[in-house]
Amino acid sequence: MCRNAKILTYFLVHFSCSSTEVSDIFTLFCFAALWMMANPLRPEVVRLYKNLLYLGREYPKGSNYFKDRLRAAFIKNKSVQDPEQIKAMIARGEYVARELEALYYLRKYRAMKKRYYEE
Amino acid sequence: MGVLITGTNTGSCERDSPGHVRYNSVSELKWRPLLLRIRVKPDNTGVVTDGVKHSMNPFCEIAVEEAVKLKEKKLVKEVVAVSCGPQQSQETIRTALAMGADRGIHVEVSGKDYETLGPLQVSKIMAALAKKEDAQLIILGKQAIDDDCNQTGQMTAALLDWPQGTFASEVTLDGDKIKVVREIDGGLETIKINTPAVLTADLRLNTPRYATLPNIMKAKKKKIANVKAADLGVNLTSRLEVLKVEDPPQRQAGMKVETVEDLVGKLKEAGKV
Repeated sequence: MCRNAKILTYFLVHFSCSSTEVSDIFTLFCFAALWMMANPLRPEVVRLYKNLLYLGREYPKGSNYFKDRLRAAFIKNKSVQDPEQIKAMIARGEYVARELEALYYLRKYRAMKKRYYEE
Repeated sequence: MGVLITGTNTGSCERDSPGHVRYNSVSELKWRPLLLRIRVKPDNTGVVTDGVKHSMNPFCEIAVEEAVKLKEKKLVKEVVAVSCGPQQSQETIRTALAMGADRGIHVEVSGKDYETLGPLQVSKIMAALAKKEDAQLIILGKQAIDDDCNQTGQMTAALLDWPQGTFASEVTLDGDKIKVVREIDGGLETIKINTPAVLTADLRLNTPRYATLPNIMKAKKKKIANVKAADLGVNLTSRLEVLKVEDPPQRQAGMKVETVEDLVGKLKEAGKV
């Protein structure tokens, strides 16, 4: 989003000072709208992907196994445009992240309990 | 190296409102190998640690979490994470900062000194730091998973002449005093100790949070101060010398017998009966 904003401000600065034609500003607006309309949720999705990638490093079945499945899952839904659907998928991704954190915590807890506490 | 997380409160007590005291907290961390498969060094002087993945001691994570929880409850002003070890222990401090500590102190100990670094040396460093930072509460993990000493917390308390709440499974700050529920062999023991104090965290104190990527990114802005043990006036020479480290004996194969008489006969042969 920040990248788009930078490009947009560049255009605004360079084109608006040369002419004040309504048509110019209109095309500029359409251009900007098309650009931003495509994926306002893109940074959220990228952030989720990076998070899951980081969490998957310690996956018990191996980080490559996790990475393959993560990429497959994201590529499968590449063409979804509906923001509501995207938000639902992001929520599901965050759920997976929480599950992974719980998995790692339990694994460590159980290891410590087994090692140090006789039941 | 293990991660001992000790949280000490450092700093002056400020009174906001009647009965509400604010402390600064210092946490100490140890960076320990994740014990996946242990191999003894060929010359029998220790365990192979090169190339072994290290991470924060689990009990230290619990201690950091406790310190951060206290800060979130506004009972503690500042959480400082401390670690003693080579350059790599900075990673542990970064994890603690990602979990919520405010700043870190890395006491640089490397090479020969690091191999002989034991609880006594660490507790001397902690005591010196606590005085320097004016800490009010020190929280450590109860023991490190590589040497299982369970001594650092107790030694630190003795050196500072502070009360200690060890094996804490529940900590409540109650004005000037701390109520600690300790897990002991016979069950649970509740004690009330004065501040300043040293606490050691047990397994069931809390659930440590995972240091997620956004938090780690944010933690990069937090400061880690670098200190040498000599600056604190601490002598790191060890009074212990490791003579030998050996593998445990290989498990002998078992024998199967058909009848009870056979079993008794075999036991008599072995001289056990």
